[in-house]
Amino acid sequence: MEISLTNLTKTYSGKVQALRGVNLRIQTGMFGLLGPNGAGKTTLMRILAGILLPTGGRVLVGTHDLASARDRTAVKQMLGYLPQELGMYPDLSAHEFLDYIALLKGLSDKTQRQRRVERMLELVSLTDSAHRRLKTFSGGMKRRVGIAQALLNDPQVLIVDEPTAGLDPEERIRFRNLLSELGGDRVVLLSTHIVEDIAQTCQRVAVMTQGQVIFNGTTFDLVQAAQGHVWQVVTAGDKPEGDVTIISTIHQGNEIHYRVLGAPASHERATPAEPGLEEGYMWLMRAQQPAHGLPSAV
Amino acid sequence: MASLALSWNRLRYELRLLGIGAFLLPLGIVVMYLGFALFARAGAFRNGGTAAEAEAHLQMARGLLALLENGLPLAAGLLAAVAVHQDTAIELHLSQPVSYRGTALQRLGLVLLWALLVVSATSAVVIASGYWVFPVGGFERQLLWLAPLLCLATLGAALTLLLRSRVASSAVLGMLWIAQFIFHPMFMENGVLLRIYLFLSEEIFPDILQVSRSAWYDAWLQNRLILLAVAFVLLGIVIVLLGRYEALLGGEQ
Repeated sequence: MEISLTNLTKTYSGKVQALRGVNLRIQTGMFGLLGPNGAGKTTLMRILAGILLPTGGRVLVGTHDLASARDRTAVKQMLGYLPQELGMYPDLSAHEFLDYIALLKGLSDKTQRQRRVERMLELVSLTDSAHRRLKTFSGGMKRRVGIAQALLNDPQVLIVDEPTAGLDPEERIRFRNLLSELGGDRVVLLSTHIVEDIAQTCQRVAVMTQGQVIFNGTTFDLVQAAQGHVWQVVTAGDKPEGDVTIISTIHQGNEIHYRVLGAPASHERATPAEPGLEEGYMWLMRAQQPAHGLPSAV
Repeated sequence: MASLALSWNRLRYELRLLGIGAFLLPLGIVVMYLGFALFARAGAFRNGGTAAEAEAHLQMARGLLALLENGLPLAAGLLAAVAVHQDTAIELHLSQPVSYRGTALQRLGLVLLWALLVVSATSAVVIASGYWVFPVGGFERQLLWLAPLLCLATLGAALTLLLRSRVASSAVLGMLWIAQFIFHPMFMENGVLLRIYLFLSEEIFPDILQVSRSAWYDAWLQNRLILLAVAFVLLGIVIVLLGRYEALLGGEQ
């Protein structure tokens, strides 16, 4: 299974250009989509889910061209989608909600549907709360119901938009592990602005900003983009000078340890540090600002 | 045709998602109008005299006519406004192989069916109890309530989809409904407005009992048929609007 986007554009009726010529190839496995709010990630996800139509360009999911209504329906049959803002029916129980979504997905055989619903509830550890109304669920429990509904039809393509937003650390880790497992034999597209989620799950990543893909490669390549630009600076209290972005600040006794990105004014108290994915991403974002050029590593 | 196949299980869920309130509203309207009609009837009796009984009967008939022509159609309009756009999980639904348009039309169909059941039953009771005094029979009896009911229901649905808010659409629908009462002389005097006046039967009753049928019948029938045509046009608009997913999602996010 492969998803191919060619010169994809989307302009909303208010003349807002959400996507500007996006080209991507997404193959089986976990694929991360990073970008700030308003980068166009959700629009891209909605186009892939067959909800919105692009203004221009081509989207192929396997052999299905999303320009055709019939192909969109075919893609929806093999799709699992977890939207960023997951609306639910608060008066239904988790079991009833999943049963209803399963009906919408076309699982008409009652026995098979019930078995699938119960299996999914078990997968997200909600068997004990299956018959409680959704309005009594916590944010984390609702996200778990969300992932359960996305998996009901055993999708070949799973699209999840900000799946870990609002989850506690333990739930986030469990969720990430679940996504990684699922990515073994299907396309899992994970959109987020939480870099750590991508770092822990994806081999390949694309970074979007202002409707364009500014990076497409492996997470290793993205880390390498910041190589030589990350510094550890120790000061007595004053902030590091120079063309730098402060990544972290830790107080240790009378000293402050800064981790910075860019070029410190003096290298006297600065030591080079190994970059992480977050710094690779930040370096890329920094390069997009008018004062900075594109980094040579990208 | 999967979207059209409303299985029993789907039907059960759609009814639950619409909520019990949707089904109680027409019944509440019946009780309210019945109360007004009984009050008017009692008032006529209080006047005393030999004509009191006839007057009381007429008042009751008029109250029930109002229930059929403007009370229950308003309920249908408000229900339709809710039915087409109350999906809290709309984005999820739009990503399913079953079309959202199909689901919304099924929900609209369910509330219309319920409104039609209530109004048919009410109409049958009115006829059986001898309070149907409006001088038409057969299918024309159904035209009396069917035309404004379908008109207000499709208008309610279209307004909700255009305004993207069931609260706003209910308010606009209510204002249009009230405007029909307030500006009734304007509707009656203007040839074009007369043809789309929703509450024409109530307006001309009971005066038409004193004149020949030829004096009012053609204009009344034409009005009902035009209202039905307007309802079908509005239904077409609703069907088109339900296919505009971008607008249903609230446009650019």
